[in-house]
Amino acid sequence: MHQAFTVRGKIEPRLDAMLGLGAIALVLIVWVCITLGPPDHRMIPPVFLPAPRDILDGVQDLVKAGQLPGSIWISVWRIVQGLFFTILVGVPLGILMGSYPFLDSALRKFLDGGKSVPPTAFVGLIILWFGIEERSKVVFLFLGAIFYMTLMTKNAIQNVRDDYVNVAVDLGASNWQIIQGVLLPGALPQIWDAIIVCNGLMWTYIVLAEWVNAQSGLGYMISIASRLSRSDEVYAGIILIALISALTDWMLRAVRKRFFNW
Amino acid sequence: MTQSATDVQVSSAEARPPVIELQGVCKAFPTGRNGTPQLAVDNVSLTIPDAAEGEFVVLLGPSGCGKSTILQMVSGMLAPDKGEIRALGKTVHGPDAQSATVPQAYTCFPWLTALGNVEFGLSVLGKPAGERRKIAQEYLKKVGLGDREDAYPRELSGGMQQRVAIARTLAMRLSIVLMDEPFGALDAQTRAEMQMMLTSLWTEEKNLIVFVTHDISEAVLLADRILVFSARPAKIIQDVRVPFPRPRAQTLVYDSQFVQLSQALLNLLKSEGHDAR
Repeated sequence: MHQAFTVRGKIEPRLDAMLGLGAIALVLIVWVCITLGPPDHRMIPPVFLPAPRDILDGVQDLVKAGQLPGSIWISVWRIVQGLFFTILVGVPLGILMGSYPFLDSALRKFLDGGKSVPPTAFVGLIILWFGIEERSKVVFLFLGAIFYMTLMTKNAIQNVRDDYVNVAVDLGASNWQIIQGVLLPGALPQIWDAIIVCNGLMWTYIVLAEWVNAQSGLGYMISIASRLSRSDEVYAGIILIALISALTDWMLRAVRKRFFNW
Repeated sequence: MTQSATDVQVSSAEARPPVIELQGVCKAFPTGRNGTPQLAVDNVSLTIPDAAEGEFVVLLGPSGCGKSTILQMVSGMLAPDKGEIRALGKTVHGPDAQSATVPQAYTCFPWLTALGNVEFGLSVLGKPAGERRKIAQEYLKKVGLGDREDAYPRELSGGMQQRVAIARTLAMRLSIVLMDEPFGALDAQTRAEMQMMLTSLWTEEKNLIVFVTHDISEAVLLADRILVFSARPAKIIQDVRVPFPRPRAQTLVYDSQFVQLSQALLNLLKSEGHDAR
């Protein structure tokens, strides 16, 4: 029996990819089958589950209407900004909290509390504070991810092996030398993982961020389609978000493998 | 009483403080669920005088007897409960760049190459980049890894990683080098190679190495002086001079005097109620 069926067995990348794509193909085939026929005579009404062909037509319509690919770039740009500020604030704060126990003690409870609050609850406050322009979308994304970015960075720093830290201490390194020479490089792979998680988080939040007050973006596109009951366009938007999020995820992981694989 | 010129010379040599000095050192750890303190080091006093030629001192004792604890106190990573520890004449207050330890675990930083790892200690000392590189390359060559300077630790075997760790410590050219069973995690063959590498390397460096082990033949092969410890709590039960000349070859282990000395040490350790190799 192939190792892939044994608990904790190993699987070659080729087989792994094939199985993944095969499963997707299977789902597509089932999907096509259960949505066969003209819109009025289907097993499932097209408003609940459009056929793949309908979704492709929907994409065409959106492109013709000028909504695509522009919406994609707008949403991507918002997420890039969100990530930028999240990293700018969360990583240094996480490093300091991870390095100095007194900071961890003082701030941890605020972060634990904050991470449980959904940014949706902040929407009213965000509009009040930041208006309805681009800024408020980025703030929304920022709030969704910052607590996780900080806490995960802090954990990454605290998880650096004691052995490594002790070597530096034993050699007489200063606090700064320990942080910059051991803690930061040691934690870098996990900090990058935290960035990958936050990227994923932001893609789940982008629709919300754009639902309430946007004039553009994938979330806005989906919200309009939803109000018009254009299920094909809604699905198109959802699938696009899933694909782009997976693509950015894959790109970030590739960077990790190339530069931080210790 | 008149003093001749030689008298004055002798007394000025003695005026140099001992490299390492322990006086009445005790250390206990809270262990067990109720946290009752367990004595690890019991009133240990020892002196390692400052020899111009350096010295290879081995702390030999059964596993868990507290010799590593003594080493950690000498390096400043642990503080004694009672007694005083002095290194190079000054009381040890904490870890500093006077001494460095090569531990048993593999501690090469995985994000640095072999060369980068060796340079690390030098950068802590504040040496400029060009000088760092030169010294690091020199020491990597000395441990036999001159052609692997761009390798990352994950590409190196355990023995090679320990060589890098040794090079990192020795490159700093400190007065006191501490080694805590550095070859303990290696297989017997690699261990034998590493012992030979270390002993021939030390013949060049001639600094003070304090080496902890529970392996009798390793102790006799490497040391100028062996301090034999009892089982926990650590107490020095014997101070032995190892008379073999240097350089020492691996074949020394078959020499009858070597075997005699090893046997005597084995009996000594056994009589303390503990088995050792």
